[in-house]
This record gives sequence, structure tokens and C-alpha cells, in this order.
Amino acid sequence: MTAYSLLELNTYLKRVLVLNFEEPLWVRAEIMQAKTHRGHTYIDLVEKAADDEHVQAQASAILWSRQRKVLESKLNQNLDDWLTEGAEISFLVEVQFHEVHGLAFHVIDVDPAYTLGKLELQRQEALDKLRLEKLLDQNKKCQLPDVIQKLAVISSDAASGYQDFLQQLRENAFGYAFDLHLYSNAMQGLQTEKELSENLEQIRAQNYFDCVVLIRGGGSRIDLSAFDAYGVAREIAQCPIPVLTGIGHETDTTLADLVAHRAFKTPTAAAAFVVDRNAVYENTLLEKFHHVEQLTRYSLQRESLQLKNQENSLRYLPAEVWSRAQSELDRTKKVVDLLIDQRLNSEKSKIEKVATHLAALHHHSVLNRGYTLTTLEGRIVRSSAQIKKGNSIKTRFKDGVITSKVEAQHD
Amino acid sequence: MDQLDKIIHDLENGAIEIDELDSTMERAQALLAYCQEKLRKIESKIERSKSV
Repeated sequence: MTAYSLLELNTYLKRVLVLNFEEPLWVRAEIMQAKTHRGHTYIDLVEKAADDEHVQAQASAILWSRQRKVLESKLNQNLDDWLTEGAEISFLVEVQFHEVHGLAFHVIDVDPAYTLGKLELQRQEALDKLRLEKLLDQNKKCQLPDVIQKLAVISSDAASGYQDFLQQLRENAFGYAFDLHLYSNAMQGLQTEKELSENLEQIRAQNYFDCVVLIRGGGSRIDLSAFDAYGVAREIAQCPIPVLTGIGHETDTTLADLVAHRAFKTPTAAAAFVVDRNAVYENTLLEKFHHVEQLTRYSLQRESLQLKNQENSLRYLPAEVWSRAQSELDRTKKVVDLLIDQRLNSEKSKIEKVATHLAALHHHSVLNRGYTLTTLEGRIVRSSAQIKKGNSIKTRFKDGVITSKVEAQHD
Repeated sequence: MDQLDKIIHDLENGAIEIDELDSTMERAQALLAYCQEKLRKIESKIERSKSV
């Protein structure tokens, strides 16, 4: 049996491949890993089974620095956004075999429509799943406070969108102060879901924030693909705190936006909403305050008027009361005077009667009328039977007394 | 007045001895004068009150 040297074999394989793959060809694969070194990008490609995701095929591809620049210029995008772990890409490759380095695919072109189509398919599947699990409206049912002050911001501190958001809040015209905590998170790629889950768990555990704001500074459809992932959308939907999104894209709506409590086109718009919401509440308070103030003023005016009326009433009332009391007093006085006069007259009449009676009873008046008063031994003789023959009796006249001796008695 | 009433009552019923008659009548006159004076003073006081 003939034995080949390794070089001979590799030279043979190279010739076979060159003969069979004269033209570049399109290959679909999932990116397992992509690393850039000195401008060249080294990509590990895999194809996984649909059911259990075990690796069925694997190969390496190289995107040379010069070709990368050509592609980026053609797509008008940074290829880092496309060459992310888990992305499904359709590459135009040249199949090459090098005697020393072995088999390699040299990337010539990329088909963005394939990737976007795949993404859209995945997005639709995720959307159906979210709808089936009734997660689309779950976060919308969380109560967003009337005043938002404590914000948990999930973003990347380097993202321009985050800076825009901060600036909008800091420079708000009303001078509102916010307590803002940044939870740093990958904003694209497979890490996004894992970190988002961890951050939301921390935010939940703190039980402090009024809302969560998910901020990203814009990007292409492919950049934002993480926000179309089912896992990310589910985390947002199930968050018990209202989640606002300001992912930064004008045309498309990600699943994260769909399940969020409120979605805004830009981080600046999200910040403006927060400021406006507080301003609306302040205005409502001010209106209520003015209403209460008006009511109070009206009530005070009414009370003041009432007081004035009462004061006027009081000013004239005492005179009236006095006059009434005076006439009552006069009437009473007259009655009292009358009673006193009656009593005095009665007493006077009584005394006069007594005086008249006394005068009538006085023995002098009797004597003056010509009567006499007879006494026997100092006692008034009222009957002849009191006297006996021989008694010495005294007879009193008005002008003197005589003594007589009884000689005889006659019936 | 009660004393005067009693004197009148005694006079009417002859309960007063002749020797006491004068003194009793003098007392009656004094009591009468006292009552009249008292009445006069009360009248005068009332008049003064009325004028105030």
C-alpha cells in the first residue's frame, strides 16, 4: 500500500477542493463565536439540530480586514452588530484549503436579508408565544406612580442614549430631582437576556423603585435583535414594576417595547415623559390648591359678609332690646307702684279705722256726750244688781266725780 | 297694729279696769301715733324712690 506524506495528502485535498469549488458559494450557519484580531475576523460557525440543538456541523471562517471594510462600506454598518454569538448568517464564502492551516472559508459577502428574515421569523414566534402566555399586557397592568422619582435604569453607561436620558432629566425645566440607579447591562447579543434577568431580579428585591427604564442609544434592526428575543420580552413582561423603554429606534417596535408599560422612540422621549408626568401631577396639585384657595376665599368673604350683617344687627338690636326692657320695666313699676299705693291706702285706712274706733271707745267721748261712769270700789258698775243699799258709789262726769250713798234700790 | 287690735277688743269686752282705762287709752294713742308715723315714713320713702 502506498503511503502519502502529509504534504502530498494536503496538496491532493487542496487540488480536489479547488477543482470542485471553483466558484464561491453561499452557506448558512449560526455564529458560535467571532473574534477580531489585527482587523481580521475569525468566525466559528456551527449548525445545530432543530430538536435538541446538538452540533451537527462546525467550521471556521475568516473575514479578512480588507474584505471587511468593503462589506461594511457596502452595508453601511459595522459588522460587529451582525457577527454576534447566536446570529444566523448567510455568507458567500470561498472554500479554501491550505497545506499548513487546513480547511477555511474566506468570507466574501454577507446576505443581510437572510439574517433579518430569520430574525423576523424568530420575532414572530416569540410574539405568538408571548400572546399565548398572556404576557403582552402584564407589565401594562402595573400601576405607574403619579410622581416618578426613583428610577432603575437598565443600560450601558457608555451608551449615548443613556447620556441623553441623564441630560434630559438633569436639565428639566421644573428643577425636579431624581434618584437614579444605573444597572449596567449588555445591550446586544446573547448576554442581554441573562444580564437583564439578573438586573430585574435585583431591582425587584430592592422594592424601592417607582419604575424601570430600559435605555439603548439606537441602532440597526440587527443591533436591536436582543430586544426581540422571547426571554428578554418575558423578563420585562413579568417585572412587577412598570418598565419604560427608550430603545432608540424610529421605525420598528421591538418585543421589549410591545410588552413594556410604555415605549418611547428615544431615551430623550422616555425622560421627557417622566418629567412631564411629574409636571402634570404638580399642575393637578396646583389646580386643586387654587381651587381650595378660591373656595376658602369665597367662604371667608361669605363669612365676613355674614359677620358684617350680624354686627349691624347687633348695633341696632340692643337699642330695641333696651327699649323693650325699659317699657317692660315701666309697666312693672306702675304695677308695683299701684300695689304699694293700694297697700299704703289699706294700711292707712286700717289705722284710721282703728283711730276712729278708739275715739268711739274712749271714755272721755262718752262722758262728753253727757253719760256718766259709775264705779264701786274702783270697778265699773255695769248693772244695778252689783250695788246694794248702803254702798258708797262714785259717779264720774266729764268735769268731775261725786260720791253718793245708795239709799234704795228700784227695779 | 296687733296691740291696738287687742286693746280695742279688750275695751269692747270691758276687760279693762277703770284705773287702767286712762293708761290703756294713752298707750293706744301712742301706738296709733307710732303706726301713723311709720306709715308716713314709708310713704315718704316711696315718694323719694319714685322721684329717683
